[in-house]
Order: sequence, then structure tokens, then C-alpha cells
Amino acid sequence: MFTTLCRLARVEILGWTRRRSLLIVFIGLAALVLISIAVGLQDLASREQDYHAQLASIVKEQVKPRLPMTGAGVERVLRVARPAELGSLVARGEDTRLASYFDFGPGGLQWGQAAGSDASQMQAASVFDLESIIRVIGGLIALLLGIDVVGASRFRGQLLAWQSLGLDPAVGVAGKLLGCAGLLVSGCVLLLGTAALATGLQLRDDAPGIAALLTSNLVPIALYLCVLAGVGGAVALWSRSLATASIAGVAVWLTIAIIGPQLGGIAGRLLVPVTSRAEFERARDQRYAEDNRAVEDALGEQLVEALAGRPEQVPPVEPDAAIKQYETRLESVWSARTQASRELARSTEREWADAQNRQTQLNRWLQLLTPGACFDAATAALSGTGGGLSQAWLELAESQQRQLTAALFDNRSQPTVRFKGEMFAFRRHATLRWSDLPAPPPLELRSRWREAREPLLALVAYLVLVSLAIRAGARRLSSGI
Amino acid sequence: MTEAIRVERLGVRVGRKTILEDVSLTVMPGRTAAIVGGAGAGKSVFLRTLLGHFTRSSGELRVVGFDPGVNPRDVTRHTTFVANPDVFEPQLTTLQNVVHLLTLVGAPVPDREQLVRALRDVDVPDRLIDARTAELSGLEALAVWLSIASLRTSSLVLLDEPTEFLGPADTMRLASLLHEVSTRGTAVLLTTRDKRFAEDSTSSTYLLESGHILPAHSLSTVASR
Repeated sequence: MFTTLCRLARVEILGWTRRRSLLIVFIGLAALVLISIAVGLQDLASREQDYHAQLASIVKEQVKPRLPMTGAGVERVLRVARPAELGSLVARGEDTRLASYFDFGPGGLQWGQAAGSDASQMQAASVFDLESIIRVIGGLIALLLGIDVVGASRFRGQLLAWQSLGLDPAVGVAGKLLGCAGLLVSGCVLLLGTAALATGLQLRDDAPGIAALLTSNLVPIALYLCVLAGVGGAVALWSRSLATASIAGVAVWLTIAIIGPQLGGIAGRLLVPVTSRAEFERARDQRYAEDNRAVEDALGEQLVEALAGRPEQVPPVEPDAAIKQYETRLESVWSARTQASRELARSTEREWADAQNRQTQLNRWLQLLTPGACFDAATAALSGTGGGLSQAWLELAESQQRQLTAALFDNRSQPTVRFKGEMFAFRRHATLRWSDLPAPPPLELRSRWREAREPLLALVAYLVLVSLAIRAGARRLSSGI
Repeated sequence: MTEAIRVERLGVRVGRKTILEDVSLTVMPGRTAAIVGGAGAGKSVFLRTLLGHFTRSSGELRVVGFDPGVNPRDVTRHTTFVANPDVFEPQLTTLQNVVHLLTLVGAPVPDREQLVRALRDVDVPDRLIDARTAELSGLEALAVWLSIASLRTSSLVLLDEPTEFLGPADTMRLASLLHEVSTRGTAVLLTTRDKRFAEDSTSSTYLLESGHILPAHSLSTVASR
């Protein structure tokens, strides 16, 4: 049977390679791929530029008194920008679930703005990325190819002729679809080769890395296109005419490639509602502000009490007993507040992160319901822009915070009171320099096969299901129904 | 001599619909027979029942000595069925298509000389043997199928409406081709709507109407009406 399948596939491929229409389609797709690569690289360059601008601004400021953790302007916060991501050439670019920068302070890790940078707002990047082109246009071509291959064979009586000669129609259909799959995989290899070549021509240092990410996507692309071609074949077998098959095929394609991938996200948001990151940050900052106002009031009262009847001294060169007593009290208040702030920061972040995780988990299962969504998830993971990247970044940021807390905040110098113009100021440690900070380890941008395992397995399961539908359809034909 | 086809009181139902009822006929080896009937009379279902594609609901059936319901593979091994002759792969030549089909069904593939001879025997012009099948006319495509039947040493050839798209001249040539095939001992059963072609080119003609075979004399009775 294997020889028969190979023979049928070979004849099918031979037939398609002699069709001029296929060459035109391929040239069209290659042009789209080149456009997508050009747009993707431009998007990537913009984001890198944006990142370097952010970094320069941070280096200039060194430390940024941003978050009012224990009184306005008292504790300074360190800001680290998230590097631009690489994998936007195949899958969507920056992950907007993750902050574009992180603030590290004594109160704990704070996320900066979740909205992407200006560059990542480029809508073209999410329309023209390779993943969308292959999911939508490639999917349609594969499906129509499947319908054409099986439909033409069925409706002009070739399957019946084969069956009457003793060849199982299921084997005939499988052989033709195998040829179709071979054609699609060869086309994908050529297209990805074109994409890699286009990347190389941009003379980027990271071109080999990008090319590696591109090639790792061959597996989900081939699986997805084979599923679509199989669906086309099954539709042709179960339809009454080629016209019905074409209409049904387009409806199935719309569901698989366009509607399906969005349904999972919509259902996930409806079933597990999560406040948007921006809203969450607004609410969190308001909570901190209220909390800090109460602390400031308490500290102010104690300061007024400590300095009662004294003329203004800037700064108190020789702190007397009252000031020292105040400093001791302040120290305990500061410690308590820092502890409380850390707890508050952790618990609010944890609450939001837990809800987000529940939604993500649900989405992970819902996305398995359509091949299009599985393809999205697999390519995102293999391009290094999936949920795994977000998780890796969060783990990295948290580890950085732990190191900073140990290095700077928990092992702090003695407090010094200064006041003029402000009610009080508090320097908790020596002036921070960027070079003093432990450098965050570079994040490895790579294909995450483990993360892609589930969607890839789901695609394989879809392939099996489609094969069963084809087999059932062929049996139905052979029994004359 | 064993009959190529022996059908006794055959009944076929597809779903709830009765397609054939109480059909009986016999075709001996080396003979040609025709079933004449209009669209929807059950001609194609009858032929496909002979190949085991449809299950009979009643009656007895023997095709080239086998029961198609029990041994469909044995039946197809000895039978060549032609519904639409133009089912060749357009990217292959006539000869390549013959080799392709023989290989697919596991039949022995003779050398080029024998293949060419088989095609010439059924009047396929030499210029078309190594040409793409798109150049074959309807009759030439049918002829290629008859050569395949000969190469497979089929005992029975079934043709479903072979004259459907043929002109008068080609119809006459087909009659002659079928006669040649039958003289080699192969039984031929065809279906057609063309009563005159059936009467002129076959030894037995059956009229199939609404799933029933009418007696042989009814054909002339119906015609005289």
C-alpha cells in the first residue's frame, strides 16, 4: 500500500508542478512573505530603537523617584526596560500582557506600563506577519487544493474507476492528499527559505537567530496546512457537488482560520473576567497613594512632636536626643510600612496574576478547539513570543528584585533626616549607580518546544480526525451511498 | 460453460428506496448484452451492484463465478468497469496512464511492445500513445479502457452509457470494437439510452424501467407504441 500511496502522490505532484496557476500562487505568496519580512524587520528595528531610547533615559536618571512607597519622594525606584523581542517576524510582536519596563523598589517589583511602545502599535506588523499570512492565505490555498484534488477525482469518476479496478477509494484519496501535502510542505520550505534569505539580506547581526526561529516553525506550518488540505478533501468527499464542496470549504476555512482563533480568547474573557492591566495599575496606584497619605500624616505628626519649639535647622548637623529618638521611631515606622507595602504590592500583583493565569489556562484549553488557534499558539511558542516568554520575563524580573532587595534595601545605611521645602526626606542607602546594580541575565530568545507541545499534539489529533473523516467519506462512496 | 453474469430475482434498496426489483438476466462469455433505460431507471446501480458497490436486498447474483456481496475483490480482479472513460491523469501520456492504472491495481505490467500492441489492437492511433490524454477523443478514451481490460485479461467488461457523448460515426466504431472484444471470449454488458445502438451492436437487449427488467419482446412493443 505504501508504494501505491507514493506512486499516487508522485503523479499528483507531477500534475501540480505542470500547472502555471501554482507558480503564480507561489510567486504571490513569496511576494507577501517578502513584504511581511520587510515590515517585520522594520517593526523590530523600531522597537529596538524605542528600547534603546528608554534605556538611555533610564541611564540618565539612574534612579527614578516614581513610586510613593513610604512617602512622596522618600524611596527611589530603579527602572529596567524590557528588551525588544526578536520573534515578531513569524508570530505577533511584543506581548502586551507584559510590561514594557519594570520598576524595582523597596516595596517590591512594580510593572510599568503594559501598553506596548509606539513601534509595537504598528498594526501592519500583526496583519502582515508570516503567521497570519500562512494561517489565512496559506490555509485557504491548502483547503482549496484539498477540495480540488479530491473533488476533481471524485466528481469526474476517477475514484469510481479505481474502485471498480480493485483500488480502495480511501487509498486513492490518501495518495492524492499525500501528494498535496508533499507539495504544501515543499512550498513551505521554499517560502521559509525565501523569508530566511530576506532576513539575511537585511545584514542584521541576529539574522542566523531569526532564521533559526523561522525554520523551527516549519513543523506547525506543515501540520496546519496538511490539516486544512485534509479538511478540504473530507469536505469534497462528503459534499454532493464540487460547488457545494467549495461553499462548505470556504465556510470551514472562515471558522478554522479567522473566527475560531478569536473565539477562544472571547470565551476566555467572558468566563474568567480579568481587569485590564491599565485599570489594575490605576487602582493599585490609588490604593498606594491613600495608604501613603496615612503614613505621611502619622510620620508628620511625630516629626512635629519631635521638633516642637525648635527653630528650623537645615540639616540638623548634630542631631540631639529628640531627633535621635524621632529617628528611632521613624525607623520602626519605616520598617513596618515597607513590610506592609511589600505585602500589599505582592498580594495585589498576585491577585491580578492569579486571575490572569486562570484566564491564560482556560485560553490554552480553548485554543485547542480550532486548528487555527493551535497553529497560532505553536508558532508563538516556537518563535519565542508565546506565554513562555512572558513567564520567563516575570521570573527574571522577580529574581532581579530579590537581588536588589538584598543588595540595596535590606542592607541599608542609617537614615538621615533632611528637611527644607519638604516636610521630610529620607535617604535609605548610598546613592545608586546603574553600574552598582546586578545586571539582569540576558533572556534567551529561542523556540520553546515544550510550550508548543500541546498545540502541536492537538494539530496531530486534528490530522488523525480528518483522516478518519476522509476514510469514512471514502467508505461511504465505495458503498454507493 | 459458466455464465459471466447470472442474476436471478435481484432486488436492491438504497436507504428506503427500492431501486431494482425482481431483476433476472444472464450474459454468457463472448456475448454482448445491453440494458436500455432512461435516466433514473437503475442502470448504473445495477452495474455497480454487479461489482459489489451496492448490497442486494434479495435474489441471487454470480459475476464471473463469484458472489460480489461476498467476494467483491475476486469480481473486480476479473472485471473492467468503465463509467466515465476520461478519468486519466492529464499530466501523463496514454501509455503512462495505462502503466499507472495497471500498477495501482497490482496487475502485471507488460513491456512497452506489448502495451503498444494492446493499444493498437483497439485502434488507438500511434501518435496518441505517447501523447497526453487530453488529446484523446471520447471513443479513443473508451478504446484505451478496452485495452486495459485486455491487458488485465478481464472476463467481463461493464460499460455505463458509453455512447453518451459519442457521435453517430464513433458509436458505430464502438459497436465494432465491442464485437472484437467479445470475439476474444470476453463478455460485455453495457447500459445505454440508445435503443437502436443496443439492438444493432449487442446479442441481447434488456429494457429496464422503474427497477424492473421487462421481457425481451417488450422492447419492440414499447418501440411500436
